[in-house]
Amino acid sequence: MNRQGGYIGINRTTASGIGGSGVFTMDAFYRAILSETWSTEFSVFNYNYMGSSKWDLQGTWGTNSSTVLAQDGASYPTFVRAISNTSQKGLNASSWTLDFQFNKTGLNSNPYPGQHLAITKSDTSSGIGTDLSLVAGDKLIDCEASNNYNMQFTVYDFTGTSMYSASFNDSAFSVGGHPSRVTFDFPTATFTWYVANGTSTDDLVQKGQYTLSTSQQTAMLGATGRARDLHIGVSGRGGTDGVRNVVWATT
Amino acid sequence: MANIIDAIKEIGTSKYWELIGEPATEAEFNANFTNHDSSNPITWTEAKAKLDELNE
Repeated sequence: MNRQGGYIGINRTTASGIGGSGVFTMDAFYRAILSETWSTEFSVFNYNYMGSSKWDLQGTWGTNSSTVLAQDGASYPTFVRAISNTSQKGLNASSWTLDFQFNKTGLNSNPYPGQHLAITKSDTSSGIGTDLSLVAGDKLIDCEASNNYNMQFTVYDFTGTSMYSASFNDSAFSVGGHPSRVTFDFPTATFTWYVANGTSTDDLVQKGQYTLSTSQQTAMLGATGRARDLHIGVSGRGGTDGVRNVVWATT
Repeated sequence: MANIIDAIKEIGTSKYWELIGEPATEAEFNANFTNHDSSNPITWTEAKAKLDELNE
């Protein structure tokens, strides 16, 4: 490519009559790419369908349907039984939203119930089949549905130490289908946790928030927030309960 | 080994709380523990006692 005619043009979408047009120099285009200010296509990693095509699984699964991934068996180990089979580096963008549902929580089931959804740095070879409580050093965030109608959110520092945790109890969680949401905003490097005691995302209420310091963010996620390969790991209780409708998307 | 978060959860009385870090002293606990459920207070003494019990 020589310097002459070094332009990129964008055509208007004539069929819909929307969109815009413009002309950019190649220099401007490459500068924008290098500085990561050029708009890129949003990445959406939709794990719903929750089937095995999106997850590496271990063991026997009581339910592996289009919307539910639930571990089989009567006991409630906290082993990681499913890990997303693709990793993301900040989802190719710096801010993201993770939506999911735990089926339900309960009261005084013992042991209870090991139902987690975590963002980890483990890949399938090192993370799956391992007790989530024993791989704390792999975890960035951990969402848990636990005893006493409890929902819990924890941010870890990748060494197993909690930087922040929040806990919210509501007897409404005894019924399935309550949405949970975690957002990560960049460049503020802020995690925000929402739960809903109703069954609609309209019911989501913020219950926790933590902002990484600059040094924490750089060490854990890189200066651009996308230097780390991240996975979603799931451990679930038995029966027909489980984790549902997981969607992890750039925002 | 259990930590102070496990201890607070095990006490289980507060319906809504937040905790920064993993406090190891009463001063750290009081500075970093926010209990939004004022009718069910949790003190450092309770949390530490529960933690010691869990780690026995």
